[in-house]
Amino acid sequence: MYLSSKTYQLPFLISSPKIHTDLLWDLTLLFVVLAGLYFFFIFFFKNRSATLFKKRKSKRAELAPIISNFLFHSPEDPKTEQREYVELKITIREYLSDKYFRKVLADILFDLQKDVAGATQERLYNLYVELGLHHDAYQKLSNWRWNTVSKGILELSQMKVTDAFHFISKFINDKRGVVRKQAEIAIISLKDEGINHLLDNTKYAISEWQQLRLIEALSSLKDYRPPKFKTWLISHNKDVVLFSLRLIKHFNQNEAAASITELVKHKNDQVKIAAISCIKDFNFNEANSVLKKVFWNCSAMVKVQILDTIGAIGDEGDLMFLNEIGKLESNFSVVNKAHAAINTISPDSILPTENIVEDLVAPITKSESGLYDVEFLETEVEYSEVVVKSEKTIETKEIEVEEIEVFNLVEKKEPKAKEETEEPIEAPDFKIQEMERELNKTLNFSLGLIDATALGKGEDESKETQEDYAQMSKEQRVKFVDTLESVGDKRETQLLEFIMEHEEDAELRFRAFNTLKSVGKKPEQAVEIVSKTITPSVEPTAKLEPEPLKLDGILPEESIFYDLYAYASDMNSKEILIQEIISIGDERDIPFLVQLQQTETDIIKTLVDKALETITKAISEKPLDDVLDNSVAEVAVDNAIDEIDFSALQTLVEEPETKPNTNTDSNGGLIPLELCFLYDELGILYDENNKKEDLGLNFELSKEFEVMVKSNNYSLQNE
Amino acid sequence: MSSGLFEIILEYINTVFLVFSVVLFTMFSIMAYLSTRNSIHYKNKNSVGEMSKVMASPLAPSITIIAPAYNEGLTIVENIRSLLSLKYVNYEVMVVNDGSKDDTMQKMIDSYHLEKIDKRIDPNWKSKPIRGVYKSKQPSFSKLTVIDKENGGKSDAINTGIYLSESQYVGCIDVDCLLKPDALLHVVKSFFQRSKKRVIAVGGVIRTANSCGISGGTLEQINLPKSWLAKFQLLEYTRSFLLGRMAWSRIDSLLIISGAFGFFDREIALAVGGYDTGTVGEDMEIIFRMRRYMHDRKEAYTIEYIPDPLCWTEVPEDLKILVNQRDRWARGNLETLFKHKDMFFNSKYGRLGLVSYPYWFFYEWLAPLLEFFGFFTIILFWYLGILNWEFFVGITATIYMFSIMFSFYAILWDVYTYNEYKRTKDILILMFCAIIEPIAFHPIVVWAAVRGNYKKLFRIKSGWGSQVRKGFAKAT
Repeated sequence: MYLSSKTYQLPFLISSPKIHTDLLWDLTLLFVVLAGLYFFFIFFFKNRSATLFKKRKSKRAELAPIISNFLFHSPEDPKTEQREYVELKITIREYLSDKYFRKVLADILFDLQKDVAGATQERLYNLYVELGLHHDAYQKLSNWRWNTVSKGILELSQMKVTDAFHFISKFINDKRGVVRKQAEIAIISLKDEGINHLLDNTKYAISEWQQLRLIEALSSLKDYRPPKFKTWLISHNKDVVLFSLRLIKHFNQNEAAASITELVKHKNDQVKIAAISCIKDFNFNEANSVLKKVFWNCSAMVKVQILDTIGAIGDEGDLMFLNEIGKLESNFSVVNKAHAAINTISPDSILPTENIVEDLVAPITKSESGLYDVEFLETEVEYSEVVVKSEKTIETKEIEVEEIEVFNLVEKKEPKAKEETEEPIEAPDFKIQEMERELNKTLNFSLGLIDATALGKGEDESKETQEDYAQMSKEQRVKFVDTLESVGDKRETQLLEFIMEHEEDAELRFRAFNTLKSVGKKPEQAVEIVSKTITPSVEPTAKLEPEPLKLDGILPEESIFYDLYAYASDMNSKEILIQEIISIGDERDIPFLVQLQQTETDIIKTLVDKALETITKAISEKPLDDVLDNSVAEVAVDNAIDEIDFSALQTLVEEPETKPNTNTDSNGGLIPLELCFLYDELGILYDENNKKEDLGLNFELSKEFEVMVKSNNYSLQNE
Repeated sequence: MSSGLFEIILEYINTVFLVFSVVLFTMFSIMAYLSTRNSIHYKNKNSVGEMSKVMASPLAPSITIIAPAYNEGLTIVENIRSLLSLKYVNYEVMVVNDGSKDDTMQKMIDSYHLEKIDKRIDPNWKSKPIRGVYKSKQPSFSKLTVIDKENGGKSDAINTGIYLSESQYVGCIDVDCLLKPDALLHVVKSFFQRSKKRVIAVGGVIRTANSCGISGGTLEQINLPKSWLAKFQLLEYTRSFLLGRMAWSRIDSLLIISGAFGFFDREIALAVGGYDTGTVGEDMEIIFRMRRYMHDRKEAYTIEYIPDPLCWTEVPEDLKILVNQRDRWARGNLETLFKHKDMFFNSKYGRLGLVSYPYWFFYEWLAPLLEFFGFFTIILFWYLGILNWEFFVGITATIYMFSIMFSFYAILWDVYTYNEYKRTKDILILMFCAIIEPIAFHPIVVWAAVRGNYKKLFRIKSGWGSQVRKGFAKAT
């Protein structure tokens, strides 16, 4: 293409540059040629990938039986098979000189190792090395292309060529990111000490994705004993510190309280958050003051994390600090979190204030009795106090104490209020209470149950147990904590707290903490919850809530299928359960079925209808006495006892309405058998009255039996 | 004298067109090169190691997928089911019912057994009032949260979702989008793989799901769309997503993340105030703002782009809907460029100010207008008898062949990397589309862009328009 020099040298702006149209046509031609080339390459690549796929598939089909022969060969095989095996070995040796063959073979073994396990997998790894395929992988390590090096590292690590550790470890500080990351995972997978090597030597940052992969690689190692990761908390590499914190959390290593607490002051938010997360998980109460100190200089995200942690590990001493946040902090999420933390530490301290219609509360309080009205006045006062508390926050700690007293005061009056709302009955005779207690004792004795409620309540007994624990040898203490871990429940809370506070051994402390977490709320918290929530301030609101579905006095929860259904993960399981109800269900399942009718999908509803129909039919065919004998009679007795209900009988009367066997409390405050034996072994004494009842069988009263007891009570009362 | 001057002007017009075209060719060629390098790098990087192992890691970050829904009653239940079946451990699906007039909300309540929950809302939060926050009573749908709010548009709905989410990352998608089961893993990887830069947003390729076989909310079979309009759009998307955005991503100058599949670092998204409710090009505008926010604070950051086909959506098969859609895109483009005009050739913003913004200005906003006026100029010149036929035919042939060549390159790259359309017939049809597109489809796009600009410049009120969804269940 020739362009005249004149074309672009004409006087500037007077005449425009001349354009040779030849240039345009040349460009057009160039684009035509390129389009043609692309057209060719489109089909070239398309066909090539299809051909390669087919070729590899046929090669795999050819090699699969050979590999299987190698993998499952045994020296005890018959002679003919041994001969075949040797011949096969010779043949395969010949093939191995072909590079493509080796590549396909390595690919097949590489894919296969993901699908096999145990001895076969070990044999496969050996076969890979025996056939010399690892040499190809080694060669890849010296390739100039980063993706080839990565593939080599991956192959060696996946095929567990442990000898390659030394070669691969050189790459952990490679400037090529993909190679470096692959090497990091490889050295962790090849040897247990790989993680030490990595954390000691890595100079580069470890991305979060890489950290996830490394933890995943560590978790998949068999019989892995992690090192103490606190060693690396003092690393200069920020990412090593962050990764160590995550490893500490992942492997539950709680010995580095001081270092972790110090890291809350780290300038990096991610490190801060990871440290705070560890503090929360390991319940480092001593870190509370540091958290509060650093709080004001943190970002909103970290502040939320701190508040979350204070909520979990804090106590009432932190309430002032949390309340201050409400005053000083402008970020809504942070303030919200502070309120949530306050409510976690001291439940229901802050109640909803928005969209609360006071008029809705008023009708509930309409009562004929003067006493109730007076109480409601108290309620209103208290309610408003709580609201003010939420809006303005508590001024001083003294106010809190006063409030708690008010709560307690109200709580003391509460049974009276309950009496007033119920139908007037004659004052219960004290003698009946006495007789009831006697009867219970006798029953417990004959059934071998211990009155653990009394045991749990006894302050002296608890102290005694704690003293006993303090005098135990370490071995005994370990055994004791072992037992608490496996059979302990809420009633051991105080003891567990004692262990947490006084135990010297960090591991036992941590285990006690974990057990405490698993058994639920602390007893004193529970008392607080009761004293603060069962106040008239919340009672009227609570009564506004719709009552649970209850037909003929039976709750849906009483159905034996209730829990099973709740945990049914899919439609199929649910259908099977309803089929079961159809075949074995009785009148106790009716409320549950009715509930399902209201909430479930059409398919389930159809089945539920069928179940209801079957059960109703069965009931109608039953003789009247039988029916009465069960639920109706039971409900009648229940109602009768309810009428003469008083505090001493309350537990017994209410018990049948709770879910059976859902938690340890369902056994009516009885201590599990295992714990009874342990208490005996350690010489822990119970209440004098209950000493002889220490037979410790871990079971509960059947419903029928309870009804019988109640009937007895009733008849005794009548007498 | 006057005729001489006129001739000089005409010759200058020719020169302007030629320079414009040559710069365009150069830019596109560079883009093709960059995207090729980026694709090869991406492919090699992801050929080693498995992602699925990380799926259930306790350290996996939380993600909220926000899907605004307005009058989606026809498909909402199926679409949510699809979103709930993603393979990831720590995610939440937040559907924001933006004051739908149909039975969208009721259908969700009935199908997913929703119940209203208490949620404290910041009284200072600026969005349309929230009527309620709903969660499912069934544990199997625990990942689902539904927000019912008054109508305020897509941006307002997403902003509400971003605000109410408690996750580290938020994803804004169209509720009718179909995500591949491992889509979130790719997203998390993109957010987490950088150690020196903060990834503030992640975008991805949008593929056309028209005529594809979809069953139970998952993509079963990939087919070429039956509608020709959809076929042209498929080709256009392939070019734009596989070549264009991939290239911009390579030089970290991506200025747009599709609203159908965009994920953001929630902290930054909230810091910039979320989506701008005053523009129809909110997906582009938020990226401008997020970039400027980070740039002004001199923090190391980047925006990642995933070329894997993770998000599939229906494209308009109706001409009117298509024109409305492109009209809206043009308006959004103009609004965003105007709002951030101080970035134009501003060296303070580096490549963004010197390359990316000018490219968007000249070749995304100005090009359709030039084409449109060029067309009328040709007719005028022909009418006046002063048309330089030789130059006209030459430059038309050049541009036409470049267009075909570039489309072929996009198809080639699609075949080389993902090879979604396996039948030879499909590839040939796509090539045929590439040949006729400059005559059959491109004028429609140009017309829509001119209409959008006209509406914006003359302040003719126009909103989002609407698209009638066929629903994936029927797509087979």
